[in-house]
Amino acid sequence: MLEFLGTIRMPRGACAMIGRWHRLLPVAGLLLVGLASAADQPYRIELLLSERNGPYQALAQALQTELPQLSDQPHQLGQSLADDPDYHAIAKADLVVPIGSQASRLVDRLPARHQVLHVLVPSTGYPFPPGPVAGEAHHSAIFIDQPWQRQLNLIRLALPGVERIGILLGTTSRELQAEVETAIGQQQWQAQIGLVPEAGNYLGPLRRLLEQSEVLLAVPDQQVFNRQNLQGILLTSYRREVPMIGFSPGYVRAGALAAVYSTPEQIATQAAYWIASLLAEPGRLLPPARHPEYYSVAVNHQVARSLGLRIPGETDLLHSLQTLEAQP
Amino acid sequence: MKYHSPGSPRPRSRLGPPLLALGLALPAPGLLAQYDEAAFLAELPVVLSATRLKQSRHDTPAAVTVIDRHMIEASGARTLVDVLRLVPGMVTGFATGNHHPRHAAEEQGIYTRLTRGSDDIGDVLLRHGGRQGALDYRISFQYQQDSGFDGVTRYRDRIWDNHDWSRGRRLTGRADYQFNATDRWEIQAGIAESPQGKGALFSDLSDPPRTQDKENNFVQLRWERSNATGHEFHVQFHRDEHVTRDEVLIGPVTEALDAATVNQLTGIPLEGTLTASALLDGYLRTQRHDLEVQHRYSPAQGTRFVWGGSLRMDRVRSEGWFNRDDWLYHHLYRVFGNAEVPVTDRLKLNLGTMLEHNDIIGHDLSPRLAANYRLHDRHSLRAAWSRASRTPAMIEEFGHLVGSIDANLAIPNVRARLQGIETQLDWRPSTHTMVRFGHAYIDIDSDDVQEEFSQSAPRNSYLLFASHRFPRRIDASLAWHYTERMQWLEWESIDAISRLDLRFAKGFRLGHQRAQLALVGQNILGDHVEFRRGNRFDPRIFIQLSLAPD
Repeated sequence: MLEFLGTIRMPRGACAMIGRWHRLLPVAGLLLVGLASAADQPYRIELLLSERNGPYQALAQALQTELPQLSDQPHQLGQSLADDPDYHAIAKADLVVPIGSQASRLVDRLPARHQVLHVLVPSTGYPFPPGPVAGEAHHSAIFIDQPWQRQLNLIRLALPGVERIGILLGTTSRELQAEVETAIGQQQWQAQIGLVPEAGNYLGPLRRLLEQSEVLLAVPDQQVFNRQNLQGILLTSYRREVPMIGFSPGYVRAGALAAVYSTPEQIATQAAYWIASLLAEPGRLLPPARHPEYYSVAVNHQVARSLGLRIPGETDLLHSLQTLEAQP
Repeated sequence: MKYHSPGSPRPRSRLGPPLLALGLALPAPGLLAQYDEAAFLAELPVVLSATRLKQSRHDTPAAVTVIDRHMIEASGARTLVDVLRLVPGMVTGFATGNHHPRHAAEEQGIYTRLTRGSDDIGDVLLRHGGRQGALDYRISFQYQQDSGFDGVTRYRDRIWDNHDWSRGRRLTGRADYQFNATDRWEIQAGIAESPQGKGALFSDLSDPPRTQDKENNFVQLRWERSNATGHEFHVQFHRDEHVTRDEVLIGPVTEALDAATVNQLTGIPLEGTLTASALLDGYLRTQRHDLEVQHRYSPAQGTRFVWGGSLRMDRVRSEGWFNRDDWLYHHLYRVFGNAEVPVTDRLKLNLGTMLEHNDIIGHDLSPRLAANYRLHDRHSLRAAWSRASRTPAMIEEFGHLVGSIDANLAIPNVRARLQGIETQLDWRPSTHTMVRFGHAYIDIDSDDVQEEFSQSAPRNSYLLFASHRFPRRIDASLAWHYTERMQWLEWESIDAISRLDLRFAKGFRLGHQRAQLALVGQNILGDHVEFRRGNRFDPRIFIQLSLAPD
């Protein structure tokens, strides 16, 4: 029975599972309860929210609104909170959609008959391979962060002529150095890297970095770009007339010059398209994890004007970014 | 802990079987733990609020010269007066402007600067910045000393030896506390005392050499709220106090001075003859209390409104100056508003007005209208009209020296019309080089009889400033300024001044500190006279060592 269901949903994972069936014994009872009547059920989608409110709820709601507009296939959509997960519903679900990192960590090891679509999680630290792994659930994600290329395109459009890009990295994000240097090198630009030591102050490395940089590109490393440091980082770079490119609308409100970002609703739209294609073709696998396709641009015009910069409006920048990405 | 970027193989779990129950019950260690979405979703305080942002030069309704920290450092300036020399056309010795003090978060760790040089120059600056959670703080201590203008000067058969040394100590502190995403507190306080030499040996009898003690203290509290909808609101209370202790013993008079000579030497218009000795009590205590409320709002891109009001109470007490023992009060009430409205993409209007009521001149309205037209990204034309009046300082309104000298200190009522042209060219050929040239032409048209107003500013003044950073952290800079002949109001005229300052600095590492050793030469072209005849500014040389945390 177990293998049969597994075969329907996940043909590739099934062979591995036959060999490992004994591992499932401790929870076989739970699974049996959940799966016994699953054969003729509509496709089950279970959302698992990291928190009840805010962006998590906004994403869940947008998904619930958009999915019926994109697909008339029968499906069931349930949701629970990471603090109090509905194990029963998750066990029965065909697709689990954890919203946020806390929820993601809970559904790290689902058996092979599930697919998991992680949303509102950053790409850095995402542990799953792009393709299916035998005997394990297939994981994919729509990340919250933007690809380097897109952020560099924003710099190109907002600050034409700028070539020295300053990046301040902490002990964790240091591992991104090679990747970001490559992306910046591809633009024929120079990457200037400042490293903040583990217990050290960020101001010294920041000051040295600002001397060599024409723009500061913020990286979502909480060791460096946290709420407390942000004051000093923004004020110091502003005084040296080096604008900062942020990664969220919050950064732009705080004083970054601009940011490209995706709202929970935009991520929900992309998730709804992906899920709709699963509904249309139930045996299908989710595409590999990727950065969001839908995004917005925020500009702090007050900061721009104060720095004597004339930069295009948000809509113009967005259209130009989309045009650039559409080019081969 | 390890994390993996997409595409790298998934770590094998030590927990073994991919069990649903285990998976739900035990979050896997390390997975996604280093980064989470909180950074992307966090509500952040508005750091660069409209009050902290400087207005772009293209949008300002009046001419503005910006002297940034780099320029101040590179000029080798020790005092505010040194800094203001970098503004062509500005020859006043003391002025305060709308400056942006540094947030406590911008300076962390311990900073030290020691200065030693000719003319007994010896300065110490110690600063410590730190943080406790959302509280950033900074404490600074500063000591400054020098022997003032140089030795003996001859003027009109009189010999002067200025007694103008100074020893200043100042302790200031600042704390910034951001207690949520929209609100922050700022507290600043300071205390200073600076005994200094006054008067001159061999000079006139009303200004004998002596020690004057000055003390001051201030406290400022500010609450600021900036919310996401573009509203900014602040309430600020400021209090400061200045105390001067200065006892002047005049005489016994051995020769009768005629009023004209005293006038010439002291600037105090006198009548009659001095015949007796007198003790002038120069004790002066002034206090200012100021409460300000301001609201800024930007309803649309490019449109900005600011309005607010302030209540100010000044009081002063000095028996010597006012011939009475109680406090003298002065109240000032203000409401103001300003709108910055874009008419077209290039044309921007600034409309503002301030209604003021004070005890001396009553009601006064100061309207202002300015239009900025942007010709090009970097060029703009500005036309401005404004009307304002200057309220006399309390000393001018109430003051008269008592003793055997009874002099009226009121500034005569004279009309003066100022016209001028200011030019500034900034050139940055590379990030390591900066050149600024400034020129100011001022023409004063006045109906004054003795031409003291007409010549109270130099007709032409020039500034040339250049700095360059060489490899191996060597910095060099020069500041040259030239001021044509002028006459300070109430003082004698002084000749044209040409002054050249040079600075060389070398940066190096000292343990975990950034160090810099600088050699500064001020006025290296030779002597000149400043402010009044007795003030001979000779060349000065000093060395500065700064240590900053890395």
